[in-house]
Amino acid sequence: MKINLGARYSIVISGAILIIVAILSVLQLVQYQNTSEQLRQISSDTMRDNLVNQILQRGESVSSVLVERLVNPVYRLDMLQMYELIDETAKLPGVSYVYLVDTDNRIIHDGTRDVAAYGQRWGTKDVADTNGEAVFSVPDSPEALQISNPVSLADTELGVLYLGMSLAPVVEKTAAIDANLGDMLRIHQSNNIKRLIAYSVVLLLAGTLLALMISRLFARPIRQLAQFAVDVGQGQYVQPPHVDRADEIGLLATSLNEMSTNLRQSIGEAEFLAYHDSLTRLPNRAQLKRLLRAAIDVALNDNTSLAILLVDLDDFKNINDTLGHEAGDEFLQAFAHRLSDSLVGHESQTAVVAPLRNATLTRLGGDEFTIVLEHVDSNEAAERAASYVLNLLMEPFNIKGHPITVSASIGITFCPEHSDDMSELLRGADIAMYEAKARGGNRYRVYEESMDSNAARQFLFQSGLYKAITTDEL
Amino acid sequence: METTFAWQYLLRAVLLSLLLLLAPSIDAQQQRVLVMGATHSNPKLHIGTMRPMAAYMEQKLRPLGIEHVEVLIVPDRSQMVNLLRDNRIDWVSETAFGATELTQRAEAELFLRKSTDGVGVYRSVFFARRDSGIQDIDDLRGKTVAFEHLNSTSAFFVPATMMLAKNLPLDALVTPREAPRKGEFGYVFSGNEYNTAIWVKLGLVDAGVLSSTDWVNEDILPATFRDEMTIVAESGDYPRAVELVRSGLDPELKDALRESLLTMHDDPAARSALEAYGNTARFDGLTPEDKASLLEISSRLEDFEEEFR
Repeated sequence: MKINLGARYSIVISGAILIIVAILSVLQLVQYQNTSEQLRQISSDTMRDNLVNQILQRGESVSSVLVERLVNPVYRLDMLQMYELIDETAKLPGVSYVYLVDTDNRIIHDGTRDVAAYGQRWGTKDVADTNGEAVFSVPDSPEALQISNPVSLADTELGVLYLGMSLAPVVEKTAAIDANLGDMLRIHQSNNIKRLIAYSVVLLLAGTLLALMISRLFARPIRQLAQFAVDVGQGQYVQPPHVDRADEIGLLATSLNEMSTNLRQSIGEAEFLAYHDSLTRLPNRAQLKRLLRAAIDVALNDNTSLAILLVDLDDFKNINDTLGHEAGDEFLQAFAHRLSDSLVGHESQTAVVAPLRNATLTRLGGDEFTIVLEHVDSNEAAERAASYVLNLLMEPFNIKGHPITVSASIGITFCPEHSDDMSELLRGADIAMYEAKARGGNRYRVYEESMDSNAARQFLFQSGLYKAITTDEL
Repeated sequence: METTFAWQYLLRAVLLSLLLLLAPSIDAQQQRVLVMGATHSNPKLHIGTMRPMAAYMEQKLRPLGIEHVEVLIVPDRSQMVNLLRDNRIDWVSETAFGATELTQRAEAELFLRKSTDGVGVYRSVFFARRDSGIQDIDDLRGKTVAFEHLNSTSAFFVPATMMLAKNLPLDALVTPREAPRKGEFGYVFSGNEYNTAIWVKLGLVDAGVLSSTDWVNEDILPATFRDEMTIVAESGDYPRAVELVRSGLDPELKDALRESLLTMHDDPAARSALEAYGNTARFDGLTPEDKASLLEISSRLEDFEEEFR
């Protein structure tokens, strides 16, 4: 599967965010758990201490009041009053038990009407039986806080009051507060988790957005450059993508652009050479055929006329033979140059003296050139053009310091007058040119059908040129 | 005009108050106020038991010119004696012992017997733990007996005189912790019936005395306790409570009062007054046995006073 840069960035950044969030969350949750547990413990302990203190204070106050009221009844052994006082106290909320013990550590009163535990030995298990006597233990007493208080008449101690304060409220309240606190902390915790999830979602969204932005920053120009390279590869010289960056991508874009430009130049040159003559840089035969085919279509469609002028220099061979091929080439270049200047129509030339305006000039090979004239108003216009070309040759060319004059023979055909077939038109022009040459050169001839049977045609067949022209072998 | 009315009103009020104040002290042919007396340490608490009776009698005695029945509560019996002598108290309810004291010293007249909770007469019961080996009053020599309190007939006066009759010295102890002198009857006041019962039960004292009604009272001596006890001695029966009138009370008034009291238990309108009046069931005339028993108590009073007062 092909994963693009944007997706990769998204995955990596999202993954990184997830990992960081997960680690932070775990750390935070663990920290919170520890702190809340400590908080709970401390609260619980503080609460318990406070409650125990409260109970102790209350017990001490109850005990001291009871002790005061018990002095006389204990002194007189007034069991009824002791019963009433102890019973009343034992019924107070929070009081677990009340026992009155004499100086011999024996129970005087246990708060019951028939004083069931009277005379039993009071004590805890560690001071247990010195003489094998069972020690009284407070029945049914859950966790209680015991407060002892002496009952004394002046200096004489009459006994000791043991008051048990129930610690059940402490357990209950501590448990209740613990539960409340637990609930509170749990809610807090779950809120924390929700918040963490919300943060994570926001971070993930931000991360994805960041990844998309990064992919836009890097991936898009790269993709554009890639597309550009593909286009160039397919020969489409589109506008290079605008990448204005100082980084490696910018460098890549510049390189690609340069490569494209160079490539286009080389390919342009090759293309140029395929359709042009390397010596005169005029369109060659192949190009002529392309141009001519299009021009014929235009002429037929627009119902206009087209003229083909085939120009062949007279006795050009003499230049090669006498001055060398180099001079011959130079002459051809100079001739092509002089013709080309006429074609584009200089500003100084008037319409009358610019019969070659908008004509297409081609070198067929050797000393043979064609001039295609489109939208020809009349045959005279083509003939004027031919005359013009002949006139151009009147002025000598300076070739390696030698003034050289060469004449030419020109054959003319018209489309659609003579044919609408390219080969036929060229053949006709060729015949007409030979007709001109046969008549001594330095003239033009318009093709006529009668020419087909004359000596020129014979000559053509004999030299094999005709065949070459008609079969495109030239 | 309004001031004149107010003055007249005030004058009348003053005269009436004067008359009321002087009334009891005047040995008048025409007595207008009857005064009920009682000995009690807490007037506020005790007046509630007497007010309904006073209101009832006010209605009954109106035909005889009695306009108001007053209640007077005195803290001790000697003051009661004085007030009876001064004719400032007309009618008193007492225990058997109190009644004999008032007849002897204030020449009060025994009038009627009061039955509370359906019991007209009762007796004193000496009891000890069954495992104590005490079977007779004589066995109590060198031991300690719990009486109730100084003013109790059944749990002090009667049993104390029974012990006095044995011609043995009595040794008053402050708490059960002390031991009597050798050969003497030790006694200690418990303050209430419950203490007497529990002291014997717990072995704090050797024996205790209760009235025969308390002896069978489950609230004071539950059956489980009683089963551990044995009766050591018992006195004869004597009236539980006695109504007395001062000497010299108008015979006509006295007859009317007697008549009203004797028929009170039949009068539905008197029910709440009787109930408040110490849970009284009815009033009866004193039987010859009652009189004999009271006389018997009376005869021991001198010895008793000599020993204890």
